[in-house]
Amino acid sequence: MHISEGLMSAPVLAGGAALAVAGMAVGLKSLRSEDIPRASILSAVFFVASLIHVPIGPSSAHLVLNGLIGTIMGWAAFPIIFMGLLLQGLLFNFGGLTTLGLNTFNMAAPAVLFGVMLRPIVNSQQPWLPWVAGFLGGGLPVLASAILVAIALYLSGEQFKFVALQVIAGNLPVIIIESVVVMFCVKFLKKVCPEILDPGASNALEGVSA
Amino acid sequence: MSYSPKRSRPTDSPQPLLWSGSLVSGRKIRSRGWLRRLTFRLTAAFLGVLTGALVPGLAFGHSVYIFAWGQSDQICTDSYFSRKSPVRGGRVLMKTADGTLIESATTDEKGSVCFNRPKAEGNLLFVVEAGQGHQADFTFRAEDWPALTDDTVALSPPPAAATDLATADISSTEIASVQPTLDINTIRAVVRQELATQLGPINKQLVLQSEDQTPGLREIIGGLGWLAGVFGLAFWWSARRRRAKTP
Repeated sequence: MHISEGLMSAPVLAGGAALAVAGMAVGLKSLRSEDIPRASILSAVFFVASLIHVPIGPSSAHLVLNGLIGTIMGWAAFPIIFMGLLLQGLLFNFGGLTTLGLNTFNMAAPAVLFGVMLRPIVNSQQPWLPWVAGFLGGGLPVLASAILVAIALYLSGEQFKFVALQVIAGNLPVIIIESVVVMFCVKFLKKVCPEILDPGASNALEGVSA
Repeated sequence: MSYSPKRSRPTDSPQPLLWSGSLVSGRKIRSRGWLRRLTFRLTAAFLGVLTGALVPGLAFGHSVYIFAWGQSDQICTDSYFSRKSPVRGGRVLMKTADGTLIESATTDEKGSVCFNRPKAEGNLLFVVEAGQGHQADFTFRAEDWPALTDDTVALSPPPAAATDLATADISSTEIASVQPTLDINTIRAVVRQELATQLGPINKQLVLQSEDQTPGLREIIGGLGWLAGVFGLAFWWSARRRRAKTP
């Protein structure tokens, strides 16, 4: 999922970075002081999740958990994922500094999109709807991120069909695992600490400053 | 955890939570609470087990690495994600130092692929494309070739006389007469080549060990420390802004 250094053409990198900066601006603006502890913890979760490795096929995939971050934090997913990626790049050699912007966009944008879209379902009072929302909110962002990576590779000149299939197939187990994990997380949070998922408690989702 | 006001039957002494649902039955609301607690416990158990099951996997990273080492007339490469996970079916490109492609090949099950020694002099650049945007390179320095330049001469078919002696029935006296014909350079060349073959895998192991950058506990703890620090900074900043706003 992390695009390494030296693969991408400059315009793709610059475009990704510009989109990431825009997302970061909205995300940081939406982040109130009450959200900072949650954001930091999720950043730590994201940072460590990439080490949980799913050996499959010719390549290796790892957990992303951007769905979890988007479901809980909405727009703040941008700064959260940026911090996690920055430290992964510096300490683990995952991705790299030149691809930081592009990688941030690829992982955070789907998180925000699905997080905001599924928010009403997560907070529904129906007993089973949050399960569905958690399941979709966990898996779909990973799938969308894989597609974005494939598009970025295509724009930089690699053969699209092959790489796209490879990226998506390589992440299929991750998509399934994360769907289930986030499904249980959402149910668990609704039970233990519903205010974490409550839109009233977090206006991060509307992208407006407090 | 405390009693919710929904629980209608007043209790003089607080009952253990476990009892109130499972043992005292009869009311619908109670049995529902029991079910709710069960799903809660199952969810918690699932998340706990998942964490426990995944932690051993923490040792693996997913960066990609490549390493090349020279043999007498060919150069071999190993590509891997981590020590236990080779790059299968990845494309390895052999390039000159200035980036001109010489040859490319696909890795086997063990992540290795060998090339014939190129005619080009100088350093070689090996690039592995492991798909999904994974890529790594390794520079093979020209001086790392096993010293064989004069060996090839020395190891060229020995003179006819020596062959005859070797195939003939050799007695101890004859050996004494053979020895002077084996000149010191030939012996040196043979030993050198033998050593190169023997030490090749050891060298490879050494480089693998020094190159293996699989993130360890130190990096993980360090990263979490950084995040804690950034958290503190952000919190301090927001508190400062808030204080500035309030008169």
